[in-house]
Amino acid sequence: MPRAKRLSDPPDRILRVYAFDPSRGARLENHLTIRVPYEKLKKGPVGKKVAVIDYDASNSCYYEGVDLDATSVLGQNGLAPSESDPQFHQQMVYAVVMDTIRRFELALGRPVRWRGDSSSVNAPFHGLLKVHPHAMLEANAFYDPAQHALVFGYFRASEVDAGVNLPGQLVFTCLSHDIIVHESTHAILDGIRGHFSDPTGPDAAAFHEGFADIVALLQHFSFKDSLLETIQRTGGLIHRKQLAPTARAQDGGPVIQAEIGEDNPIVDLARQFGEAMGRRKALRSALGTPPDPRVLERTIEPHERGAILVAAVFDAFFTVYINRTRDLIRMAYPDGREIVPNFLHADLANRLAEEAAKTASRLQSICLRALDYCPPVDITFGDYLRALVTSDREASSDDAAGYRAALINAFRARGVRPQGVLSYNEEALSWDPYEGVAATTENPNFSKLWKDLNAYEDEPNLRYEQQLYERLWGKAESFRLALGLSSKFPVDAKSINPLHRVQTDGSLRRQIVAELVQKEDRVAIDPTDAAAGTFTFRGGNTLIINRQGELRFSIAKPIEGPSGDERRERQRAHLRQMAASFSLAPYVAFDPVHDLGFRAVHRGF
Amino acid sequence: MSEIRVRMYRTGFGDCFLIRFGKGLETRYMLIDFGAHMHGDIGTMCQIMEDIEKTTRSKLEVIVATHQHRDHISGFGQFADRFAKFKIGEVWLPWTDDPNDERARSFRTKQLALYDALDTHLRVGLKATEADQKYTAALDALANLRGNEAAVTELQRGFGTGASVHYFEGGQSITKVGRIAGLSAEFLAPPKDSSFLSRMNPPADQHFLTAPGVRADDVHPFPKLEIKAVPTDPDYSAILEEGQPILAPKAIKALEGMADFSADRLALALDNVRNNTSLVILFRYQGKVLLFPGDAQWGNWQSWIGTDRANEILKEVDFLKVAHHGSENATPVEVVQALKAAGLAVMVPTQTKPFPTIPRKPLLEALEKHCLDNVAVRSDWIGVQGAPTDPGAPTNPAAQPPLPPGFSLGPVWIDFSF
Repeated sequence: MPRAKRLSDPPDRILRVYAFDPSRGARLENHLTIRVPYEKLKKGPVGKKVAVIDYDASNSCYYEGVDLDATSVLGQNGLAPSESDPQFHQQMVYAVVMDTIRRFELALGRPVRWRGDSSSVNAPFHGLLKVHPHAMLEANAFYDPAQHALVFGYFRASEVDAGVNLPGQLVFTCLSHDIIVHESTHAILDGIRGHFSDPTGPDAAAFHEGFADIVALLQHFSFKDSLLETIQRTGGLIHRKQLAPTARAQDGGPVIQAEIGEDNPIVDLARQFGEAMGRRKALRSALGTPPDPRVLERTIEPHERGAILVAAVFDAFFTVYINRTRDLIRMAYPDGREIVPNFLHADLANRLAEEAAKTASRLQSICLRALDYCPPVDITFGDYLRALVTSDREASSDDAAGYRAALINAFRARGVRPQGVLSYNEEALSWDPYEGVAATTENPNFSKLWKDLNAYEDEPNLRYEQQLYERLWGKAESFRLALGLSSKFPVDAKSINPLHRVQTDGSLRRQIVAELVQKEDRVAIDPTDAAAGTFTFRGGNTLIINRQGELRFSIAKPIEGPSGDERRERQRAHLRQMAASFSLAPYVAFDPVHDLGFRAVHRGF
Repeated sequence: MSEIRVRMYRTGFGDCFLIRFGKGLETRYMLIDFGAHMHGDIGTMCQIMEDIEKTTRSKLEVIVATHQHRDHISGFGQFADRFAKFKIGEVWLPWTDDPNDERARSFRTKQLALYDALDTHLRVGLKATEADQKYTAALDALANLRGNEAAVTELQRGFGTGASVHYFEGGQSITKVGRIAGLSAEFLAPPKDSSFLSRMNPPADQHFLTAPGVRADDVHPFPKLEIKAVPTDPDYSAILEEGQPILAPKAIKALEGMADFSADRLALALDNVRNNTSLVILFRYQGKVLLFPGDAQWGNWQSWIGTDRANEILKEVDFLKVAHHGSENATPVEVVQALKAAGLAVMVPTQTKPFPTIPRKPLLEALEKHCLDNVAVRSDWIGVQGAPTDPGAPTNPAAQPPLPPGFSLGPVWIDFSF
């Protein structure tokens, strides 16, 4: 046969994007090529998970969708970055959303799944996450679970105080790398823990925001080119707020750009957006304020409270990075001289960049994996710390690089106190392994669930999926008591996912993570005032099941008993507080579902 | 004659309080707010102006304008020429109205531009009218925010009477108020710290109108690339043929709904912001304590309550003017709880037009437990021909609770004397 072997599809698709946003200009470190898993794309682009549909609701029109498989596009790593070409915008949102999905999939060891789509099965793109890069004239971007969509707005920069932008210039939220990652993370997190968007307390909304910022910021540290610039200009201290000017100014002050110091872009979030709004700075920063355990109690607004979580994770990140690079610095500067920014040896800068990128990607995995060890409802920062410690201990028993210690100390310094934990050591912070009930009672065994899961994984059809969920539900029903579930309320088998972990000895460990949820409808917000309205109160367990079918962990938020009662009261107090501070209260009746749902709280990017 | 008399006028939906201090030759007057909401005006403003002139013989020690809302200051613009003939000692305004304060000025410039942009956006962009229920409250709130420049300018220049104009912030206090011997005043809000100020900016989630004059219908990011979703458009059929992804009509409708979701809420949120610039003043006179919190809402109260000192103050209060017409969240639960258990004199300037959600019944009921004879006295109990009354309240004046001791009814006012 004279024919050449047919090539298979390439593993990756390479696409160009802005590393930050257009405001950082056409510098080398602002242009980035990222690799996303290759898939055949239709115009839009529309792939298997994501459909970019460029409809502009403010102007009631479409912009033509890009064909990323066109030869002219494929041949040059996608379209070149441009503010004025909507097809580049479509390419950038697609690329960054897919990159974020890939990071979750790598860390969790399974495909990302979206929240159930409420649109009709026959509606176009049912089940896909819809992305609207120019959805409306609005200085905003948000994830809308009802529409199963990421909505990006565009707006004119302030006429009076536009910062780096031209006054009145159009700003596109879909060109901000940070904003795209942030909104995609909301969507992915909502698919993993659908009840974290319920208004169960100040921590829940703040967790969604903080977590999305953590993912977006850690992404900054995985791009080596932009990192190298920061490493040079901070002398390796990448957490510094300011970059040193590349040329020293004379006495009269700076004359040219290179003599001006500027903000460190990698610790900032959404700089163009922040400046276009007349705030003169990025929207948020990883650095926050100096740790003060008392601040957490006083901070209620979700973005502000989330910023405390972000600051804790980044404290841990920079601490580990400094520890890991101390040897390099000592070798390069054995006499203890201070490092002069801009005068690092290129080799040293390169090694530092590598260490920073490695640390960031490891920490990102730790943060993402912890999601599987979170309870199904009513997340608190304390729960997340416990999940972080437990999941990382499960993955690697020793903490040689000091990630866990750094995280624990950083959370402690910011006043995160897990409930019922008496000490900040690792054992105490880990969830208690499931020990079963009294010796006389039978402990739950889930070995049949494995059979169903394998059947479903071999042939992922509706029948096997149903069988799998029915099995879980059946097991939960028969072991209510042993699992600490209430006998008063029905049990919902919310999710079942496989967990794959490569152990330190190289072996593969498989587990199942499953969510069971119970709910009590129409609980009065204020039992003495019927007009105050009602809410749905939820409890439940996250189960981690070993290969043999035994229960490893049962991470519970009971709906009944003293802890259920305490949580119910806490949620009431939270909802009352939200109603009291609701800014439209005099004119618009407060409705927790509407006013504390995703759209209202998370609308503000 | 009692040495303090508080006269609450009924302007409609609005505030106007004339307080008399002292007696005989030492009788002095203070006017706190004088305004009616554009859509809650019941036509009593002229009558009230005449009574103010007659009662005070055109002499006012102090005029207080708690905040820049039409329903609190419209009278100062409407009757500027008549106030110009008064003898006025002092004018008190919140620091946010100070034309020489840089932060106040930039805040005000932004806000004014935003009010205009928002009005255009609602009326032109979204074709909103008061008749459309969806927008009634928003347009009404906006009407209250706009068109106050004349009144504010007059207040800032003391009506040209030579009155001295003072701007106060939370934390200040004065022990000497004009010629009113024995009166002291403590300003509890608005504070001047930066965290309060950051909350004064339009809510973070609704920034789309920051640029003055921008309307949805004149921003086209890619004017030459727009393809209208009309089947007859040849470009549209061409891209459809090439596989352009399009949305279901339902999804388009939802997206368009989101596009105008925030405009009306933004108007209401701005109203809240302005209310929170209210001066909150605690007066002490001859052992009596009077609290006038303007239209303070949650954010304003939060700036000073919650401390032991605040609770002590609240316990001492003998007379309370209820904030923001008795609306939800204008008097936090903590405040109600901290007030003295019984015997409090309470006045509520309110009516149900134009906002049917105001006043909020459960709040008034909670307050009444602390009141003299368990009655919080409402301004809409003053019968005025053609004026609305609370549909939920007894319409027959005879069925209204009898006024507690110290209160008496006039033609367009209710008096309270200690």
